[in-house]
Amino acid sequence: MTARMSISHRISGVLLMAGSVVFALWLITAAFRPAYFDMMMALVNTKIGTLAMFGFSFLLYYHMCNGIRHMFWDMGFLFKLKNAAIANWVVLLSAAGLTFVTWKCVCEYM
Amino acid sequence: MGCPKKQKIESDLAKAKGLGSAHHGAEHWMAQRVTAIANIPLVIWFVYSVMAMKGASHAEFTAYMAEPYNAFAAILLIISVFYHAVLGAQVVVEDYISCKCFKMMKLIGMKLFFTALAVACIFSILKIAL
Repeated sequence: MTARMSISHRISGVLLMAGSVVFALWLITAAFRPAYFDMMMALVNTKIGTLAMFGFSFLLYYHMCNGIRHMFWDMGFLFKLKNAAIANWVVLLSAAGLTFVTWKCVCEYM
Repeated sequence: MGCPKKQKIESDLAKAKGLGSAHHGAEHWMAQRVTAIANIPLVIWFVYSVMAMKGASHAEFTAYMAEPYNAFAAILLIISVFYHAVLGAQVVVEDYISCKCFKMMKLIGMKLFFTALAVACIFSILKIAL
């Protein structure tokens, strides 16, 4: 479990890089190609686009929570197997919770 | 000097530099952490901004990005996130690609790519904001 969390951190990092390229294009099109900007906004509003955004948000929160756990490791905490196992679930549930709250806000207020 | 039992295997210069066979110290590791900490508040701003910009028109988006606070946060985010991404990608490439020549190509290509992308992003923000 802890090993899978570790490799997931890297995989999520690489996927977030791919996502960041899309967000970069979003910004660049906004500045230089307004027509493409509108197209990208339309793409995000499709089902696949929304699913991609949902996935990106979860990966982002996961990478952030697991990154915070890595900082605890750097400080010398959470190394005991039992604590590391608990931290796995804290990280996963926090990421899921943050994703849920974000999308609840998106659905209700945005 | 003199005592064969305590013979050094590294030169005085190498010892003074204290870098070992990797030829670099903890800068990479530290920069990864510093950018990670910076990323936390910046990403919260980013998530909020993406949420606020849901379904926004081009005019609404540029008006939002032209706000000084938002432009400032966006530039910081781009520097911190892309720097963090390059450091992370470097570790992944170093760990998983064994062919040295291909590894160098990937490392150099990735660094140039992310640098160009970051500059393009910052240039875009400045164009919108100024």
